[in-house]
Amino acid sequence: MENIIKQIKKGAKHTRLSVAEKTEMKSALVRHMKANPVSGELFFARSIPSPFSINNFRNKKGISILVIIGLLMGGTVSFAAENTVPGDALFPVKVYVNESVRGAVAVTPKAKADWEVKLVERRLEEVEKIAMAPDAPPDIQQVAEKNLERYAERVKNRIEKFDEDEDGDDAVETASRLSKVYNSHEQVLLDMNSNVAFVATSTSTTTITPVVAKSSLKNEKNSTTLKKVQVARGEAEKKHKELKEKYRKDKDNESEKDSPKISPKTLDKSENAKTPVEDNKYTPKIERVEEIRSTVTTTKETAPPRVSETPELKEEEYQKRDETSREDNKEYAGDAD
Amino acid sequence: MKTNAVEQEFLRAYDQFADAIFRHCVFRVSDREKAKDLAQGTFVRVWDYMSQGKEIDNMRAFLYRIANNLIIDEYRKKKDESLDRMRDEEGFDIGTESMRDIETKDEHAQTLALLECLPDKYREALVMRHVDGLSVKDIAHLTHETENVISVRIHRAIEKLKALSENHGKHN
Repeated sequence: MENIIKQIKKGAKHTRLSVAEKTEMKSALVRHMKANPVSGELFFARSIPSPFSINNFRNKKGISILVIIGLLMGGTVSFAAENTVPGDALFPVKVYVNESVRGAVAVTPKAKADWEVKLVERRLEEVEKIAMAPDAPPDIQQVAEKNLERYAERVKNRIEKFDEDEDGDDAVETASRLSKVYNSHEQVLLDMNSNVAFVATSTSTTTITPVVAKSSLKNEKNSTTLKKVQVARGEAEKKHKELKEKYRKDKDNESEKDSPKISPKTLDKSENAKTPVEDNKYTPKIERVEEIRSTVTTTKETAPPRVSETPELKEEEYQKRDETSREDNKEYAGDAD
Repeated sequence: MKTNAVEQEFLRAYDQFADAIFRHCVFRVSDREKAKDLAQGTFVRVWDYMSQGKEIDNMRAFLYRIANNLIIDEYRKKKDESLDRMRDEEGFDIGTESMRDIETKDEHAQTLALLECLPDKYREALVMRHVDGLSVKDIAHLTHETENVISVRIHRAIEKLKALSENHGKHN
Protein backbone atom coordinates (compact mmCIF):
# COMPACT_ATOMS: atom_id res chain seq x y z
CA MET A 1 0.00 0.00 0.00
CA GLU A 2 2.72 2.42 0.95
CA ASN A 3 4.57 1.71 -2.25
CA ILE A 4 1.80 3.12 -4.31
CA ILE A 5 1.69 6.25 -2.24
CA LYS A 6 5.44 6.60 -2.28
CA GLN A 7 5.34 6.20 -5.99
CA ILE A 8 2.73 8.87 -6.33
CA LYS A 9 4.57 11.28 -4.09
CA LYS A 10 7.79 10.68 -5.92
CA GLY A 11 6.15 11.39 -9.20
CA ALA A 12 4.57 14.46 -7.74
CA LYS A 13 7.89 15.87 -6.65
CA HIS A 14 9.21 15.69 -10.17
CA THR A 15 6.20 17.19 -11.80
CA ARG A 16 6.38 20.87 -12.43
CA LEU A 17 6.29 23.43 -15.15
CA SER A 18 9.56 24.10 -16.83
CA VAL A 19 10.82 27.62 -16.61
CA ALA A 20 9.95 28.18 -20.21
CA GLU A 21 6.52 26.78 -19.80
CA LYS A 22 5.90 28.94 -16.77
CA THR A 23 6.93 32.16 -18.43
CA GLU A 24 4.96 31.29 -21.49
CA MET A 25 1.84 30.78 -19.44
CA LYS A 26 2.49 33.99 -17.56
CA SER A 27 2.69 36.02 -20.76
CA ALA A 28 -0.54 34.49 -21.92
CA LEU A 29 -2.14 35.46 -18.68
CA VAL A 30 -0.81 39.01 -18.82
CA ARG A 31 -2.29 39.33 -22.28
CA HIS A 32 -5.57 38.23 -20.86
CA MET A 33 -5.24 40.71 -17.99
CA LYS A 34 -4.67 43.57 -20.37
CA ALA A 35 -7.65 42.53 -22.39
CA ASN A 36 -9.81 42.41 -19.28
CA PRO A 37 -8.68 45.16 -16.97
CA VAL A 38 -10.01 45.71 -13.49
CA SER A 39 -13.40 47.40 -13.64
CA GLY A 40 -13.29 50.95 -12.33
CA GLU A 41 -16.32 51.06 -10.03
CA LEU A 42 -15.04 48.72 -7.43
CA PHE A 43 -11.71 50.30 -6.75
CA PHE A 44 -12.59 51.40 -3.29
CA ALA A 45 -13.64 47.92 -2.33
CA ARG A 46 -10.25 46.50 -3.06
CA SER A 47 -7.59 46.75 -0.49
CA ILE A 48 -4.66 44.94 0.96
CA PRO A 49 -5.95 41.74 2.51
CA SER A 50 -6.84 42.97 5.93
CA PRO A 51 -5.01 41.45 8.84
CA PHE A 52 -8.27 41.78 10.76
CA SER A 53 -10.45 39.76 8.45
CA ILE A 54 -12.02 36.85 10.20
CA ASN A 55 -11.79 34.78 7.07
CA ASN A 56 -8.02 34.71 7.09
CA PHE A 57 -7.18 31.71 9.12
CA ARG A 58 -3.80 32.73 10.36
CA ASN A 59 -4.32 36.30 11.50
CA LYS A 60 -4.44 35.79 15.22
CA LYS A 61 -2.48 38.97 15.67
CA GLY A 62 -4.99 41.15 13.89
CA ILE A 63 -7.99 39.69 15.60
CA SER A 64 -6.43 39.79 19.05
CA ILE A 65 -5.60 43.45 18.62
CA LEU A 66 -9.22 44.13 17.71
CA VAL A 67 -10.40 42.21 20.74
CA ILE A 68 -8.15 44.14 23.08
CA ILE A 69 -9.22 47.48 21.65
CA GLY A 70 -12.83 46.41 21.89
CA LEU A 71 -12.43 45.50 25.54
CA LEU A 72 -10.73 48.77 26.34
CA MET A 73 -13.34 50.80 24.54
CA GLY A 74 -16.10 48.80 26.11
CA GLY A 75 -14.59 49.50 29.48
CA THR A 76 -14.56 53.22 28.81
CA VAL A 77 -18.14 53.21 27.64
CA SER A 78 -19.26 51.25 30.67
CA PHE A 79 -17.46 53.64 32.94
CA ALA A 80 -19.05 56.62 31.27
CA ALA A 81 -22.43 54.99 31.48
CA GLU A 82 -22.32 54.75 35.24
CA ASN A 83 -23.56 58.28 35.83
CA THR A 84 -26.39 58.26 33.32
CA VAL A 85 -30.08 58.57 34.06
CA PRO A 86 -33.10 57.46 32.04
CA GLY A 87 -33.14 59.52 28.91
CA ASP A 88 -29.42 59.56 28.39
CA ALA A 89 -27.98 57.78 25.43
CA LEU A 90 -25.79 55.54 27.52
CA PHE A 91 -28.44 54.65 30.07
CA PRO A 92 -29.23 51.33 28.38
CA VAL A 93 -25.56 50.47 28.65
CA LYS A 94 -25.73 51.12 32.35
CA VAL A 95 -28.72 48.89 32.87
CA TYR A 96 -28.21 46.13 30.41
CA VAL A 97 -24.45 45.86 30.27
CA ASN A 98 -22.93 47.13 33.49
CA GLU A 99 -25.66 45.84 35.74
CA SER A 100 -25.92 42.51 33.98
CA VAL A 101 -22.24 41.91 34.25
CA ARG A 102 -22.07 42.86 37.89
CA GLY A 103 -25.23 40.95 38.62
CA ALA A 104 -23.90 37.85 36.96
CA VAL A 105 -21.29 37.54 39.67
CA ALA A 106 -24.01 37.03 42.28
CA VAL A 107 -24.55 33.33 42.57
CA THR A 108 -26.39 32.65 45.79
CA PRO A 109 -29.91 33.96 46.38
CA LYS A 110 -28.53 36.08 49.19
CA ALA A 111 -25.93 37.65 46.92
CA LYS A 112 -28.62 38.26 44.34
CA ALA A 113 -30.82 39.89 46.93
CA ASP A 114 -28.01 42.16 48.03
CA TRP A 115 -27.33 43.12 44.46
CA GLU A 116 -30.98 43.86 43.89
CA VAL A 117 -31.03 46.18 46.88
CA LYS A 118 -28.03 47.87 45.35
CA LEU A 119 -30.01 48.22 42.15
CA VAL A 120 -32.82 49.88 44.04
CA GLU A 121 -30.28 52.30 45.38
CA ARG A 122 -29.10 53.06 41.88
CA ARG A 123 -32.65 53.73 40.79
CA LEU A 124 -33.08 56.04 43.75
CA GLU A 125 -29.96 57.92 42.77
CA GLU A 126 -31.34 58.34 39.29
CA VAL A 127 -34.56 59.70 40.67
CA GLU A 128 -32.61 62.16 42.73
CA LYS A 129 -30.46 63.25 39.85
CA ILE A 130 -33.49 63.86 37.72
CA ALA A 131 -35.25 65.72 40.49
CA MET A 132 -32.23 67.96 40.82
CA ALA A 133 -32.41 69.00 37.20
CA PRO A 134 -35.59 71.03 36.95
CA ASP A 135 -35.31 71.38 33.22
CA ALA A 136 -35.71 67.67 32.61
CA PRO A 137 -38.84 66.60 30.77
CA PRO A 138 -41.48 65.27 33.18
CA ASP A 139 -41.86 61.88 31.56
CA ILE A 140 -38.31 61.04 32.44
CA GLN A 141 -39.12 61.49 36.06
CA GLN A 142 -42.03 59.12 35.58
CA VAL A 143 -39.78 56.58 33.95
CA ALA A 144 -37.26 56.82 36.74
CA GLU A 145 -39.92 56.38 39.36
CA LYS A 146 -41.41 53.45 37.55
CA ASN A 147 -38.01 51.82 37.35
CA LEU A 148 -37.61 52.37 41.04
CA GLU A 149 -40.91 50.69 41.75
CA ARG A 150 -40.06 47.78 39.53
CA TYR A 151 -36.76 47.09 41.18
CA ALA A 152 -38.23 47.59 44.60
CA GLU A 153 -40.82 44.95 43.69
CA ARG A 154 -38.07 42.53 42.86
CA VAL A 155 -36.45 43.03 46.23
CA LYS A 156 -39.77 42.62 47.97
CA ASN A 157 -40.33 39.37 46.12
CA ARG A 158 -36.94 38.15 47.23
CA ILE A 159 -37.78 38.94 50.80
CA GLU A 160 -41.05 37.07 50.43
CA LYS A 161 -39.22 34.12 49.00
CA PHE A 162 -36.78 34.06 51.87
CA ASP A 163 -39.68 34.24 54.23
CA GLU A 164 -41.45 31.35 52.54
CA ASP A 165 -38.31 29.29 52.71
CA GLU A 166 -38.03 30.11 56.38
CA ASP A 167 -34.71 31.71 55.67
CA GLY A 168 -34.92 34.18 58.49
CA ASP A 169 -31.42 35.56 58.32
CA ASP A 170 -31.55 36.51 54.69
CA ALA A 171 -35.06 37.86 54.92
CA VAL A 172 -34.31 40.10 57.83
CA GLU A 173 -31.02 41.29 56.49
CA THR A 174 -32.37 42.09 53.05
CA ALA A 175 -35.30 43.92 54.56
CA SER A 176 -32.98 45.87 56.77
CA ARG A 177 -30.75 46.82 53.88
CA LEU A 178 -33.72 47.96 51.91
CA SER A 179 -34.99 50.22 54.67
CA LYS A 180 -31.51 51.56 55.12
CA VAL A 181 -31.34 52.52 51.50
CA TYR A 182 -34.71 54.19 51.58
CA ASN A 183 -33.80 56.06 54.70
CA SER A 184 -30.65 57.61 53.41
CA HIS A 185 -32.18 58.64 50.14
CA GLU A 186 -35.36 59.94 51.66
CA GLN A 187 -33.19 62.34 53.57
CA VAL A 188 -31.73 63.69 50.37
CA LEU A 189 -35.08 64.17 48.81
CA LEU A 190 -36.35 65.84 51.96
CA ASP A 191 -33.55 68.33 51.85
CA MET A 192 -34.20 68.97 48.22
CA ASN A 193 -37.77 69.71 48.84
CA SER A 194 -37.17 72.12 51.60
CA ASN A 195 -37.19 75.79 50.93
CA VAL A 196 -33.54 76.15 51.60
CA ALA A 197 -30.69 75.94 49.18
CA PHE A 198 -28.71 72.84 49.87
CA VAL A 199 -25.66 70.85 49.05
CA ALA A 200 -26.30 67.26 48.20
CA THR A 201 -23.77 64.54 47.82
CA SER A 202 -24.22 61.91 45.25
CA THR A 203 -24.07 58.48 46.75
CA SER A 204 -22.52 56.73 43.83
CA THR A 205 -20.27 53.94 44.84
CA THR A 206 -16.96 55.05 43.52
CA THR A 207 -16.90 58.75 44.21
CA ILE A 208 -18.75 61.22 46.34
CA THR A 209 -19.41 64.23 44.18
CA PRO A 210 -20.90 67.24 45.87
CA VAL A 211 -23.67 68.80 43.85
CA VAL A 212 -24.53 72.33 44.68
CA ALA A 213 -28.04 73.47 43.95
CA LYS A 214 -28.44 77.13 43.34
CA SER A 215 -31.91 77.42 44.67
CA SER A 216 -34.56 75.30 46.19
CA LEU A 217 -35.93 72.60 44.00
CA LYS A 218 -39.19 72.34 45.71
CA ASN A 219 -41.97 71.80 43.26
CA GLU A 220 -44.96 69.61 42.83
CA LYS A 221 -43.20 66.88 40.96
CA ASN A 222 -40.53 66.49 43.52
CA SER A 223 -43.03 66.52 46.35
CA THR A 224 -44.86 63.56 44.87
CA THR A 225 -41.58 61.78 44.40
CA LEU A 226 -40.66 62.43 47.96
CA LYS A 227 -44.00 61.19 49.18
CA LYS A 228 -43.67 57.99 47.19
CA VAL A 229 -40.26 57.34 48.61
CA GLN A 230 -41.50 58.04 52.08
CA VAL A 231 -44.32 55.57 51.65
CA ALA A 232 -41.92 52.99 50.31
CA ARG A 233 -39.61 53.55 53.18
CA GLY A 234 -42.41 53.15 55.64
CA GLU A 235 -43.42 49.87 54.07
CA ALA A 236 -39.88 48.61 54.03
CA GLU A 237 -39.37 49.40 57.66
CA LYS A 238 -42.62 47.80 58.60
CA LYS A 239 -41.70 44.65 56.76
CA HIS A 240 -38.33 44.62 58.37
CA LYS A 241 -39.84 44.87 61.79
CA GLU A 242 -42.31 42.09 61.07
CA LEU A 243 -39.62 39.76 59.93
CA LYS A 244 -37.43 40.54 62.84
CA GLU A 245 -40.27 39.72 65.19
CA LYS A 246 -41.00 36.51 63.40
CA TYR A 247 -37.49 35.21 63.41
CA ARG A 248 -36.52 36.51 66.76
CA LYS A 249 -38.47 33.68 68.33
CA ASP A 250 -36.45 31.17 66.41
CA LYS A 251 -33.27 32.65 67.70
CA ASP A 252 -34.31 32.12 71.27
CA ASN A 253 -34.01 28.42 70.74
CA GLU A 254 -30.61 28.50 69.18
CA SER A 255 -27.79 29.39 71.45
CA GLU A 256 -25.17 28.95 68.83
CA LYS A 257 -26.47 31.44 66.37
CA ASP A 258 -23.90 33.01 64.16
CA SER A 259 -23.05 36.67 63.99
CA PRO A 260 -25.99 38.89 64.78
CA LYS A 261 -27.92 40.98 62.36
CA ILE A 262 -26.87 44.46 61.55
CA SER A 263 -29.68 46.75 62.53
CA PRO A 264 -30.89 49.57 60.31
CA LYS A 265 -28.29 52.23 60.01
CA THR A 266 -30.36 55.32 60.25
CA LEU A 267 -32.92 55.39 62.98
CA ASP A 268 -35.50 58.07 63.35
CA LYS A 269 -34.33 60.56 65.86
CA SER A 270 -37.60 60.12 67.66
CA GLU A 271 -36.94 56.46 68.21
CA ASN A 272 -33.63 57.25 69.82
CA ALA A 273 -35.32 59.50 72.32
CA LYS A 274 -37.61 56.69 73.40
CA THR A 275 -34.75 54.64 74.75
CA PRO A 276 -35.69 53.45 78.24
CA VAL A 277 -33.32 54.51 80.93
CA GLU A 278 -32.79 50.99 82.20
CA ASP A 279 -31.10 50.04 78.98
CA ASN A 280 -28.42 52.60 79.43
CA LYS A 281 -26.47 50.13 81.41
CA TYR A 282 -26.06 47.96 78.39
CA THR A 283 -26.60 50.47 75.68
CA PRO A 284 -23.66 52.58 74.73
CA LYS A 285 -24.08 56.12 73.54
CA ILE A 286 -25.00 56.81 69.95
CA GLU A 287 -21.52 57.84 68.97
CA ARG A 288 -20.07 54.68 70.28
CA VAL A 289 -22.73 52.80 68.42
CA GLU A 290 -21.15 53.93 65.16
CA GLU A 291 -17.77 52.81 66.35
CA ILE A 292 -19.02 49.46 67.41
CA ARG A 293 -20.91 49.04 64.22
CA SER A 294 -17.79 49.50 62.21
CA THR A 295 -15.98 46.97 64.31
CA VAL A 296 -18.96 44.66 63.99
CA THR A 297 -18.62 44.56 60.25
CA THR A 298 -14.92 43.91 60.29
CA THR A 299 -14.74 41.51 63.16
CA LYS A 300 -17.80 39.55 62.29
CA GLU A 301 -15.83 36.38 62.03
CA THR A 302 -14.49 36.56 65.53
CA ALA A 303 -17.79 37.57 67.09
CA PRO A 304 -19.58 34.20 67.31
CA PRO A 305 -17.37 32.59 69.90
CA ARG A 306 -17.86 35.49 72.23
CA VAL A 307 -21.59 35.47 71.82
CA SER A 308 -22.08 31.79 72.43
CA GLU A 309 -20.13 31.88 75.61
CA THR A 310 -22.78 33.89 77.38
CA PRO A 311 -26.13 32.25 76.74
CA GLU A 312 -27.49 33.40 80.06
CA LEU A 313 -26.98 37.04 79.32
CA LYS A 314 -28.68 36.56 75.99
CA GLU A 315 -31.89 35.33 77.55
CA GLU A 316 -32.14 38.43 79.62
CA GLU A 317 -31.51 40.69 76.71
CA TYR A 318 -34.01 39.06 74.46
CA GLN A 319 -36.77 40.16 76.72
CA LYS A 320 -35.69 43.69 76.25
CA ARG A 321 -35.66 43.46 72.50
CA ASP A 322 -39.11 44.79 72.14
CA GLU A 323 -38.11 48.10 73.54
CA THR A 324 -35.40 49.12 71.19
CA SER A 325 -33.91 47.84 68.02
CA ARG A 326 -30.33 47.89 69.09
CA GLU A 327 -30.12 44.39 70.46
CA ASP A 328 -26.99 43.66 68.54
CA ASN A 329 -25.05 46.35 70.26
CA LYS A 330 -26.27 45.18 73.61
CA GLU A 331 -24.69 41.82 73.17
CA TYR A 332 -21.39 43.35 72.49
CA ALA A 333 -21.90 45.86 75.21
CA GLY A 334 -22.67 43.00 77.54
CA ASP A 335 -19.42 41.33 76.66
CA ALA A 336 -17.54 44.53 76.87
CA ASP A 337 -18.61 44.97 80.41
CA MET B 1 -3.16 52.96 -8.21
CA LYS B 2 -5.53 50.23 -7.25
CA THR B 3 -5.22 48.33 -10.54
CA ASN B 4 -1.62 47.72 -9.80
CA ALA B 5 -2.42 46.24 -6.44
CA VAL B 6 -4.81 43.77 -7.99
CA GLU B 7 -2.41 42.85 -10.72
CA GLN B 8 0.41 42.42 -8.26
CA GLU B 9 -1.68 40.20 -6.09
CA PHE B 10 -2.68 38.05 -9.02
CA LEU B 11 0.81 37.64 -10.39
CA ARG B 12 2.13 36.87 -6.95
CA ALA B 13 -0.46 34.14 -6.63
CA TYR B 14 0.56 32.81 -10.02
CA ASP B 15 4.21 32.61 -9.09
CA GLN B 16 3.37 30.90 -5.87
CA PHE B 17 0.80 28.38 -7.04
CA ALA B 18 1.27 27.75 -10.74
CA ASP B 19 3.31 24.62 -10.25
CA ALA B 20 1.02 23.18 -7.64
CA ILE B 21 -2.06 23.67 -9.77
CA PHE B 22 -0.34 22.27 -12.82
CA ARG B 23 0.80 19.24 -10.89
CA HIS B 24 -2.67 18.68 -9.58
CA CYS B 25 -4.08 18.76 -13.08
CA VAL B 26 -1.44 16.37 -14.36
CA PHE B 27 -2.33 13.75 -11.82
CA ARG B 28 -6.00 14.26 -12.39
CA VAL B 29 -6.12 13.99 -16.16
CA SER B 30 -2.90 12.07 -16.79
CA ASP B 31 -2.01 14.28 -19.68
CA ARG B 32 0.64 16.95 -19.51
CA GLU B 33 -0.57 19.17 -22.28
CA LYS B 34 -4.12 19.03 -21.14
CA ALA B 35 -2.92 19.82 -17.62
CA LYS B 36 -1.24 22.97 -18.86
CA ASP B 37 -4.43 24.12 -20.51
CA LEU B 38 -6.40 23.47 -17.39
CA ALA B 39 -3.92 25.28 -15.17
CA GLN B 40 -3.94 28.30 -17.40
CA GLY B 41 -7.70 28.20 -17.55
CA THR B 42 -7.80 28.18 -13.79
CA PHE B 43 -5.74 31.33 -13.52
CA VAL B 44 -7.73 33.03 -16.24
CA ARG B 45 -10.89 32.44 -14.27
CA VAL B 46 -9.27 33.71 -11.10
CA TRP B 47 -8.28 36.89 -12.90
CA ASP B 48 -11.78 37.37 -14.21
CA TYR B 49 -13.02 37.12 -10.65
CA MET B 50 -10.46 39.53 -9.27
CA SER B 51 -10.92 42.05 -12.04
CA GLN B 52 -14.48 42.51 -10.88
CA GLY B 53 -13.13 43.84 -7.63
CA LYS B 54 -14.06 40.78 -5.60
CA GLU B 55 -11.84 39.86 -2.72
CA ILE B 56 -10.32 36.43 -2.27
CA ASP B 57 -9.61 35.48 1.31
CA ASN B 58 -7.91 32.17 0.77
CA MET B 59 -6.19 32.10 -2.60
CA ARG B 60 -4.99 28.54 -2.33
CA ALA B 61 -8.42 27.11 -1.59
CA PHE B 62 -9.95 29.25 -4.28
CA LEU B 63 -7.48 28.03 -6.87
CA TYR B 64 -8.07 24.40 -6.03
CA ARG B 65 -11.79 24.88 -6.23
CA ILE B 66 -11.64 26.47 -9.66
CA ALA B 67 -9.19 23.85 -10.90
CA ASN B 68 -11.36 21.06 -9.59
CA ASN B 69 -14.41 22.46 -11.32
CA LEU B 70 -12.56 22.70 -14.59
CA ILE B 71 -11.28 19.16 -14.24
CA ILE B 72 -14.76 17.85 -13.55
CA ASP B 73 -15.95 19.64 -16.67
CA GLU B 74 -13.13 17.93 -18.48
CA TYR B 75 -14.22 14.52 -17.21
CA ARG B 76 -17.71 15.11 -18.48
CA LYS B 77 -16.39 16.06 -21.87
CA LYS B 78 -14.25 13.00 -21.97
CA LYS B 79 -17.09 10.81 -20.91
CA ASP B 80 -19.33 12.09 -23.62
CA GLU B 81 -16.73 11.58 -26.25
CA SER B 82 -15.32 8.22 -25.35
CA LEU B 83 -17.65 6.02 -23.36
CA ASP B 84 -16.16 2.91 -24.81
CA ARG B 85 -12.71 3.80 -23.70
CA MET B 86 -13.88 4.38 -20.17
CA ARG B 87 -15.62 1.05 -20.03
CA ASP B 88 -12.49 -0.78 -20.97
CA GLU B 89 -10.36 0.98 -18.41
CA GLU B 90 -12.62 0.38 -15.51
CA GLY B 91 -12.96 -3.28 -16.26
CA PHE B 92 -11.14 -6.07 -14.54
CA ASP B 93 -8.73 -6.38 -17.39
CA ILE B 94 -6.72 -3.34 -18.13
CA GLY B 95 -7.30 -2.44 -21.72
CA THR B 96 -4.61 -3.30 -24.22
CA GLU B 97 -4.14 0.33 -24.96
CA SER B 98 -3.22 1.13 -21.36
CA MET B 99 -0.84 -1.79 -21.18
CA ARG B 100 1.04 -0.54 -24.10
CA ASP B 101 1.32 2.82 -22.45
CA ILE B 102 2.68 1.36 -19.29
CA GLU B 103 5.26 -0.70 -21.07
CA THR B 104 6.72 2.16 -23.01
CA LYS B 105 6.73 4.90 -20.42
CA ASP B 106 8.67 5.15 -17.17
CA GLU B 107 7.41 4.60 -13.65
CA HIS B 108 5.86 8.01 -13.45
CA ALA B 109 3.83 7.35 -16.52
CA GLN B 110 2.86 4.06 -14.98
CA THR B 111 1.53 5.88 -11.99
CA LEU B 112 -0.41 8.26 -14.13
CA ALA B 113 -1.86 5.44 -16.13
CA LEU B 114 -2.91 3.64 -13.00
CA LEU B 115 -4.49 6.75 -11.67
CA GLU B 116 -6.47 7.20 -14.80
CA CYS B 117 -8.08 3.86 -14.14
CA LEU B 118 -9.56 5.03 -10.91
CA PRO B 119 -13.09 6.30 -10.69
CA ASP B 120 -13.13 10.09 -10.77
CA LYS B 121 -14.10 10.66 -7.20
CA TYR B 122 -11.51 8.29 -5.82
CA ARG B 123 -8.81 9.86 -7.86
CA GLU B 124 -9.88 13.33 -6.83
CA ALA B 125 -9.55 12.53 -3.16
CA LEU B 126 -6.32 10.61 -3.54
CA VAL B 127 -4.57 13.25 -5.61
CA MET B 128 -5.65 16.03 -3.33
CA ARG B 129 -4.38 14.11 -0.36
CA HIS B 130 -1.11 12.69 -1.58
CA VAL B 131 -0.12 14.94 -4.43
CA ASP B 132 -1.30 18.30 -3.15
CA GLY B 133 -0.92 17.52 0.52
CA LEU B 134 -4.31 18.88 1.45
CA SER B 135 -5.81 17.76 4.74
CA VAL B 136 -8.91 15.60 4.72
CA LYS B 137 -10.76 18.55 6.22
CA ASP B 138 -9.74 20.87 3.42
CA ILE B 139 -10.65 18.32 0.81
CA ALA B 140 -14.05 17.85 2.38
CA HIS B 141 -14.51 21.61 2.27
CA LEU B 142 -13.50 21.88 -1.35
CA THR B 143 -15.65 19.06 -2.59
CA HIS B 144 -18.62 19.67 -0.31
CA GLU B 145 -18.46 16.23 1.18
CA THR B 146 -18.03 15.00 4.70
CA GLU B 147 -14.59 14.11 5.99
CA ASN B 148 -15.72 10.55 6.41
CA VAL B 149 -16.63 10.21 2.78
CA ILE B 150 -13.25 11.60 1.78
CA SER B 151 -11.36 9.20 4.02
CA VAL B 152 -13.29 6.28 2.61
CA ARG B 153 -12.60 7.36 -0.94
CA ILE B 154 -8.90 7.71 -0.31
CA HIS B 155 -8.74 4.31 1.23
CA ARG B 156 -10.67 2.69 -1.56
CA ALA B 157 -8.54 4.47 -4.13
CA ILE B 158 -5.41 2.99 -2.66
CA GLU B 159 -6.95 -0.46 -2.51
CA LYS B 160 -8.00 -0.22 -6.12
CA LEU B 161 -4.57 0.94 -7.19
CA LYS B 162 -2.99 -1.98 -5.44
CA ALA B 163 -5.34 -4.36 -7.15
CA LEU B 164 -4.74 -2.74 -10.49
CA SER B 165 -0.98 -2.83 -10.21
CA GLU B 166 -1.09 -6.51 -9.23
CA ASN B 167 -3.23 -7.22 -12.20
CA HIS B 168 -0.81 -5.38 -14.35
CA GLY B 169 1.94 -7.54 -12.97
CA LYS B 170 -0.09 -10.64 -13.76
CA HIS B 171 -0.58 -9.54 -17.27
CA ASN B 172 3.11 -9.14 -17.79
